[in-house]
Amino acid sequence: MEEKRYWSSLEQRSGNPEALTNLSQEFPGGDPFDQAVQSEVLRTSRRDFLKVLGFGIGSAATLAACTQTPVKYALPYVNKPVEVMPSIADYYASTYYDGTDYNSILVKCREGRPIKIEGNPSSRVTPQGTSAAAQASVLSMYDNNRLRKPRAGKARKDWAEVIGQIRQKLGELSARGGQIRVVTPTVISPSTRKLIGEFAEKFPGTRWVEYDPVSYSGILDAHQKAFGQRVIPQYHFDKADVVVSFGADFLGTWLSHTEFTSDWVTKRKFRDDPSQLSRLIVFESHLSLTGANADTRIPIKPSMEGALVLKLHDEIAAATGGPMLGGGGMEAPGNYVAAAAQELLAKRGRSIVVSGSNDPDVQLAVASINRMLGNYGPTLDLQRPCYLRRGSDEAVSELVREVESGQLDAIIFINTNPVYSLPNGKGFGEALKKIDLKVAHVVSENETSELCDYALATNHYLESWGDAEPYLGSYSVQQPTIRPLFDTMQFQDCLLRYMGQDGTDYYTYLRNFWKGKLGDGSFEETWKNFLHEGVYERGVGTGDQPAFKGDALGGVGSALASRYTGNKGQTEVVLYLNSIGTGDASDNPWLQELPDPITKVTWDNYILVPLKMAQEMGFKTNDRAKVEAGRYSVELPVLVQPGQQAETIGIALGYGRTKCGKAGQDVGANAYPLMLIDENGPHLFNKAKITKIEGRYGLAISQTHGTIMGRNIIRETTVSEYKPYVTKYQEEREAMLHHLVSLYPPFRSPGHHWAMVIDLNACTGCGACVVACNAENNVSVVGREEVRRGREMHWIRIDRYYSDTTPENPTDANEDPAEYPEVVFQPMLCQHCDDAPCENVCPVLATVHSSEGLNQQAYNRCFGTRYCANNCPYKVRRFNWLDYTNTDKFIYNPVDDLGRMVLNPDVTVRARGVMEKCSFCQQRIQAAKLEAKKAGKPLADGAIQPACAQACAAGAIYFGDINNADSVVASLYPKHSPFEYDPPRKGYDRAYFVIEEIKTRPSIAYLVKVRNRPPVAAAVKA
Amino acid sequence: MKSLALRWMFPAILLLLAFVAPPRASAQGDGEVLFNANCASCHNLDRKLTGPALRGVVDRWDGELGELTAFIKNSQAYMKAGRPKSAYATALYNEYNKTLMPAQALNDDQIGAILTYLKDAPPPAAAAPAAAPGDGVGASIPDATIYSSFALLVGILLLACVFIIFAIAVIAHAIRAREQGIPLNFDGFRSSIRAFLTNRFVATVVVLLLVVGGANAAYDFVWSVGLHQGYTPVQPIAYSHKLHAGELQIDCKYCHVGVEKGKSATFPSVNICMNCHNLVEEGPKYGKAEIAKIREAYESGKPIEWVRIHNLPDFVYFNHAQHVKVAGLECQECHGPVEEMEDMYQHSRLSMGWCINCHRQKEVDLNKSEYYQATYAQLHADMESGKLDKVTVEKLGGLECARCHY
Repeated sequence: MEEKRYWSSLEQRSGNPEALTNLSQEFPGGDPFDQAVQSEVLRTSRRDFLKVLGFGIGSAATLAACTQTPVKYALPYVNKPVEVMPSIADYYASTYYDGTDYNSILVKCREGRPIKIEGNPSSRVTPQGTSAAAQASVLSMYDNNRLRKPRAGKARKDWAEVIGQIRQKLGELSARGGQIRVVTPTVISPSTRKLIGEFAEKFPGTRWVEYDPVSYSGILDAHQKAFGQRVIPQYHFDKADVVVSFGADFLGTWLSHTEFTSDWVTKRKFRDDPSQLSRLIVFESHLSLTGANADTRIPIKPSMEGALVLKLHDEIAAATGGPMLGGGGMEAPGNYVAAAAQELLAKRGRSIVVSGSNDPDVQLAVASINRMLGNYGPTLDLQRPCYLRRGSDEAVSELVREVESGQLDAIIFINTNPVYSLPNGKGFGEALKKIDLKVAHVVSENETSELCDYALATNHYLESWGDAEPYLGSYSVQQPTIRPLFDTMQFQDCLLRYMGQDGTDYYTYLRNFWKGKLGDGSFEETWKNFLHEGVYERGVGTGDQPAFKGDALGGVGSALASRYTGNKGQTEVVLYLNSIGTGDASDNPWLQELPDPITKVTWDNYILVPLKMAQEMGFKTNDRAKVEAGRYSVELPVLVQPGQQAETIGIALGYGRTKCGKAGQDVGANAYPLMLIDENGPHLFNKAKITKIEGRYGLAISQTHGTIMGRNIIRETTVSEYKPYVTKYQEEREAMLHHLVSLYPPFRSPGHHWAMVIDLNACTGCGACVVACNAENNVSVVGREEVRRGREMHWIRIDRYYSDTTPENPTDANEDPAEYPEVVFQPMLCQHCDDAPCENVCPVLATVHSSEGLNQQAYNRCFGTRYCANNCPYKVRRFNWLDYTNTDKFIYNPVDDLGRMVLNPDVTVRARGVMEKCSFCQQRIQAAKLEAKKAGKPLADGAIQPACAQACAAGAIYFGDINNADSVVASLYPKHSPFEYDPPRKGYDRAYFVIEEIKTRPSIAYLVKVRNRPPVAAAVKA
Repeated sequence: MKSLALRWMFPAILLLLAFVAPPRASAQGDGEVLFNANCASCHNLDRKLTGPALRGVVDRWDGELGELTAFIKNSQAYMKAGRPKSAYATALYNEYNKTLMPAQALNDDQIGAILTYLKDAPPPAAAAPAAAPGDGVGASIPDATIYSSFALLVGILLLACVFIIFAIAVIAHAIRAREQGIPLNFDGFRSSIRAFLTNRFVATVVVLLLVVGGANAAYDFVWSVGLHQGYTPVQPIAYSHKLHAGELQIDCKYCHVGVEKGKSATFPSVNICMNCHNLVEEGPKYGKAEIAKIREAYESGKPIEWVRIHNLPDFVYFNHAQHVKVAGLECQECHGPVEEMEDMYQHSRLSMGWCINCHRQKEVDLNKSEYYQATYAQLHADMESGKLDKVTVEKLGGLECARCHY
């Protein structure tokens, strides 16, 4: 077996001695104190002077008066609601849907404040975990930038006045036959759909346009044409043995990615026999999360996608006797399409072909492929269609035409921002001036609402009533978890008032809507049950899938062949999404600081440039470049990205907001205008020209610091080599362990011993755990400048390693293997070592070991020598270099009373000069132990879930008591060591500890990653 | 604060000695006090509450005091006994929703006093105005003040001793002079005092004493920073734990509902107060004035701003349920004799040392629940086999940082 080389950055891979020296330093950028003193953060201003003055006086006064007690008040309820008990959290079921991702959720409320989002295990759609964006959404409720009152013109007005004016205008307009447009994102709430329908009836001349910034019109239209239903089928990735994706990032951002992650990993987890693992083959241009998790990834140009789909179609048609489309001459480098066809044919009815394209013809071909493979029914279900996207490109372009030609009299935007996200948003914004009445219902002002006469403050979703139908027959409820913080009103309530139904509020409307629809029993009972569970499943027929209309394929072949030529030699730009999403969440500091899963860049978007292009054009990371596409251009920093297709560049959407809160304002540049628009709709790619421009930039990359020194911290193998690999590893481990000696006294835990197991096969690297940890543990956001200095505070990070093993068959022997990197994600957090190197260097015993195996950090004891961080081989300790939580220099943190409402009251907010790190969610451990003690019952396995494990949609993180032989972690833990104090354990072959050879005795075991790759020869032959 | 207490301490002690305070409600006396303490939670003179209005009750019982007394002592037995007024009593019982009047542990004299009060009580309009709030508040002296006063007393006594010894020496010198017939001359005395004062050893000792004493004082001061033992803030309502927990014997958990459930014992919400004060409008001390504040809060919906007495720093996590529900501690073990506190104060030091001490000493009964048996199987076996004679909280990790700091 060839020895693999792992690297986290190109500098490291280069082996350049200078770069390596720099990387291995604790402070790569030089002395942090010098920098801190020179940095803007510490530059003395008048405010600071006053602060110091105040501190002097204050401390004198404090000393003089320190025997006096500061008076603190306690205000109990006047009439305490029965279910609320101070200091005990309540959970309310609700729904998160931001127009891109759906999560059925439980909202944790403390003393009436929502502080954390968890997945709802009762849900059939997303029973496990949440997305990073859902985790972060709670912070946006306490955003200072929110609109606090309705705005009319430039003035803040009262609701009655504003509603009265709009109602009157709407009445007048509709009386004279005026044209009204309601623009929303996809609405998955059935009651709201009905309500908007009624609104349109009340005001004839109203048309409702659903607008998805990243359009799924292509796949919807294709299914309309092929099956007579304008829907997206439900994908069952848990039933597919082979998945072939053409640019659909279904693990990261595509459609219902939280659900898909949970589903997909069920076929990637195994106990002893890896032969049943599913295969994932990805054809894509930029390295996406899905591509990073693929067993086989083939970089292609977006202008090849249609032709390759065509090729796959005809390969399969030839084998199954299906309709040939003809015209397919193109093949991917390495004949991978033909190989994929063979694999798919071997798994008929147990495979999925999926494409992220917005071209209806591509989607038609994909639908036809799936039909020929017999996948409709077993893995793609049209009986239970997905309603998460409904937008129609035709309707949107019609709307744009109407606005630009000045035909409209009124337009109502609801939680949508087309001025920002339309390719020609600027022109659209200009044209809005021609409309008499422009109303925007928004949570905070955005580029669109800014241009409207009325900006009406709507509730945050955690303050709102609502319902959702993500799939036919699957319902979930949205209930408010707090009274509106500001003078805001749900847009549904506004619509009811526009219609003159002042007496009915939306809550009543919602209840009326659901009467008789929630199954047997009295309504009150079923409604309460709906609220309690958060979800309701209506049985949906399992009949035949609708018939495929053969004539829908007419002309598809020639259309694809002519449109997708590969444009040899022409650079193409690919636009993609990352965890920030389509732009609505750009103002969320937790999401901004969450590193991009692949590039590990925070707080910016940038141009992904492939290695070869970088070499040819002389680009280095942090150079600046200009990208021109169509009539538009952006200037952004460059990031040289392994795995990027050689003739493409990539730019993330969702950045470059110009009317936004502090966190998202002017971060990066808006890439929506680079989209290609043709007669088949908008596409997330375009022909482009890239030129170098003057200047350098400093991207805040979280994974450049630190080297791995050639240590074996990642262990991976393939399905066919699995058995010999683990056998060999276990033998080596045995030999290694016998060489270890220790100076420490043996450690034993008399009661519990907490331990974690992380399955590298299940972790997709999405980063939801990082945001969940932020929320649970009050982790500070430090901002771009501090991340650049390597001072991010995340307690858990996801290390992304590239490795070099040449994939099966690079087309050209001269090509750099770094253009085909394999990717491994490794969540890294405090390992809670039983022989912890950090513990014995602390001069004040601020970090010591607990009898339950925890590496404890006492903030009130720590005085900041940072010896522990220096001595930690895992580099997971985080130091509060600056006062992140009290100065207004760090605006992203909850520094005001509003923001502080999001803090978890069970976790200390750390001060400057203090070290911190993962505590295994000690507060949850203590709480669960207390519950067990109160009940007088042994602690059940699984009763404790750290925030990261609970948020993980893949279920990649297991937590429990290793001293409990029946626990899941005990069954997944490595074999005991020969030391007498290690209790005997049979051990799981696949489990390993990271750098066990330095005898830190960690409490976190990782499970070897197993790729499902056919032997090289087989692939080439195919 | 301290000097004020000191200034008034001696007069206060004298006063205390002078009036070895007779209890206000004597066994035979004051019917009104007895009525308020025993009856007022269910009865009013002129209004129906849980039970009937009691003005004219003797007339309703046809002046049969013996029967009425028997009924008060045990109403249930009386109804069953078939005595002259049993039928009337049963009718009353039915009229008041079959709410049984609990048996009252009062003697005949006390009942007599109450009945006399009921007969003679002034009509509502002429009722005495309620006592002004604030009367007699803050009579208790916190422990800390007592200790420092004690130290001062000792100091004064020591000084007095020194003075007396000096005086005795002078007198002895004079006597010796007279006996020996030499003229009284203090020169030698003076020079010996001078020698004493200029003696290096003495100076060293004095300086050392001062330094040690000063250091000790500084040490004590530093360790007292942030600790507020004895803290007795003035509360918005003159609520008496002595009355509610002491005299009326209301269980602590009746009001502090969270104490067995979670971290906070919780301040009672106004609706809990109103469970009783819906009916009880007058207190024994302040009449209606203080209770009216509760009603006002209830009616206006404006919460009462209680002042927190027990404050822990933000970096400390303390959970009541762990200590009360799981460990089974009595509230008084940390909060002191609450049932005797007219004004609630911080009884314990609430320092980390204080917590740790207790965790070192308190034993945990591993047989208490399956949790301990299952989790600490080895310790449990060691206890059974006699290898261990006790398991303290410390043994289970109760001294570890992250049990309270996270």
